This record gives sequence, structure tokens and C-alpha cells, in this order.
Amino acid sequence: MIIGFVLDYILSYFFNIYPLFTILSIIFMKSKNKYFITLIIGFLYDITFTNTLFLNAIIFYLILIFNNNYFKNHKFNLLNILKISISYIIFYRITIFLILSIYQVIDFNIYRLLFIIMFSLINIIYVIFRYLYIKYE
Amino acid sequence: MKKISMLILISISILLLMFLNNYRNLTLIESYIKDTITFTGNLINKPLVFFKDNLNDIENKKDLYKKYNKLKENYDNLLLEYNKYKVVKNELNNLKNNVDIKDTLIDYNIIHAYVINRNIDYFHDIITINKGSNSKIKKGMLVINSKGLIGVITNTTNNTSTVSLLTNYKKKISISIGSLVGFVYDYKDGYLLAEVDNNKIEDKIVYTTGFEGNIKGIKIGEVKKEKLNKFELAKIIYIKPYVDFNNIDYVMVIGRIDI
Repeated sequence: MIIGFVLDYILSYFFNIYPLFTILSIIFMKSKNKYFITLIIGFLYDITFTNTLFLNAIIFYLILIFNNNYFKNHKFNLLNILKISISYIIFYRITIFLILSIYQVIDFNIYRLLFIIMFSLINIIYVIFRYLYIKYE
Repeated sequence: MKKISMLILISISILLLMFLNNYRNLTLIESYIKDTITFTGNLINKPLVFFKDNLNDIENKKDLYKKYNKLKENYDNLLLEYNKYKVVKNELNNLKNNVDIKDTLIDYNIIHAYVINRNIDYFHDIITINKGSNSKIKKGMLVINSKGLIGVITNTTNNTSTVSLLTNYKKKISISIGSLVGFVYDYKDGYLLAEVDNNKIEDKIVYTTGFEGNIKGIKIGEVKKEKLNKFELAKIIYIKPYVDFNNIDYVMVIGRIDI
């Protein structure tokens, strides 16, 4: 997750893309303290990238809980990982968009949201590499 | 159980309401954490920035002789303009002394800075620069580059400042077009929307007015379209900003000399 965070920092500086590596790293979290780490990284993510407080921390935590339940009943294979990654990207983008729209931080523009979701899906490449790395390590 | 859930939901909503404001002052803890992360991030980025700068240098060195000749021509013209500027500035200083005016809306200090972090979601349209309150940067100062106005400082830490770009700045910015005065209130499809009096627009270039404690005469953009508002009492104008918001590296923060 820390690697994802650093990659997000570097990529957001150099390229005009929408990296979500930190969030997608949650899928691969196996540490004992994963709940605590997720909250801390979410908090740092809030301060560094989005100028908010607790918002990403809460979303990351919810994603982690869902992730744990999902992989209790499903196999940890590429297909399931891809399915879950796409769901997380869409969930994260829509949740952030709705919350920020409700609190009038951003304007409600559905086309903008769809555009961002479309471009965010490129993050799946990171998930594939990560899965292959773990598999053939 | 329902009551507890409701209580949690209300608490979270209040918390979010408190902290989902781009214009709030950062707490001391947030400020220190942000400084530390951006410092570490800068160290990691340094080799990559060096590589990127070198690539840009190679690109810039193409057609060097042609560029030199063009710049030489511009330099001669600028020299003439500079001499004129010096005369006018002297005259202005004399007039200011005569009527005992200490500061005007066009006197400002410049603080050079560069972008160290861009906000990940473009929902927020925010950048972070490498100078903060230690460099006398304050909330509300204007941020420009060589082309024009980029945004406004929304909060500062000791060594960084957060800049809200014009594309997402939610407060009104006072502008002037020739003799007309109005304010920018929104950004849509690449245009800044502004409301001005229902008079003929003589000039096309839009400047800041210097109201709200800012600097007068900073270029914002050019008027591309205009239409009457729904009550037909004022005009809504569409301003194309000079700045390319996707390509901002080096910036200048400007503040009044008295600041």
C-alpha cells in the first residue's frame, strides 16, 4: 500500500492521469495490522492528495472490510481480482463525486464523472502486474 | 440499533461538513504532516525531475539560432518599452509623492515557486507549491505564470501552499474589461463565466481589478462570447483563460508590497 501511495505521488506529478494505486493495493493487503495501516494511509492520502480529512480514510476502510468478506467466499484469481478492481474504481469515484457534490465542493456534472471513471480504469494494468508479481514471486 | 446508526451517520456528516472545505485553515498536525510528506516526495521526485528537465532542455535546444534571432528582435523592442516604462514609473512616483500616496494597487512583490504536487482527482483542481508561510505567502494571494492568472492561495503550511486553480475557485473574482467591471463566478467547458454591466464591451482582454486586497492589472484571459442574463440586465461573458491548466510547472505568487 505504501508503494501504491508513492507511485500515486510520482505519477500525479508527472502525468495528467488519475492514479488509484493506493486504493487498489488494498486488494493485496495481508498484513496483521492492515486495518490500522489502511486508516493511516487513508488519512495521509486525504492530506496529501485531496485536501480533505477522514473522507478517504473512511472509504479505504470500507473497501478493506468488503475486500476481506469477498475473498472469504471467492478464489484469489485474476478474474476475481479484475472484477473487484473495476468495482472499487467505480465505487470510489461515484462515492467521492456524490459526497463532494452534496457538500458543494464540486459541481454536479455526470459527464465529468463518466470521463474520470473511464480514464481511471487504466489502473487495472497495475493490478495485473501486481497479481503476476505475487504469483511468480 | 437504528438510533446508534443514525447517530454515527449524523456524526460522520458533521465531520465531513467541517473538513470538506477547501478554504479552511489547516490544523497544526495537518500542516506538519503535509510538510513532511511533500519534503519526502520531493526527494523521491528529484532524479525524475532532473531527467524531465534535461529532456526539455534537449527539446529547447532545437533551432537555437532561429530562436536567438527572434529573441534579439524582441529584445530591441523591449528595450524601447523598458525605457518608456522607467520614465512613466518615475513620473508616477513623483505624483505619488506629491499627493502623499504610499501604496497603489499595482505595486506588488513576487515570490517564485514551483509545483510539487498535483491533486489526484481533478475534481478538486488543486496544486501544491514549494513555498509557504515561511516565504511570507498568505491566504488569498494571487498565483500567476508568464501567461496570466492561475489561481488563488487557499491555505498554507510552513513550507508549502495550496493553490485553488481558477477552474475550481468557488469565490468570486473581481475583473475589469476596459471600463467595465464585473466578477468571475464559474468555470464551464474551458471558459470562465463572468457577469458584467449591460454596456458595450470595447476591449477583449480581461484583467483583475485589485479589489478584495489583490493586485490590479493581472491578465486573466480574453472575451470569446457574450450574452444577456435571464433578466436582461447584465451580460454574461465567456472568458478563455490564457493559462493552460494542464501544464503548470513554475509559478509566481504575488502580494501587495505592504503585505
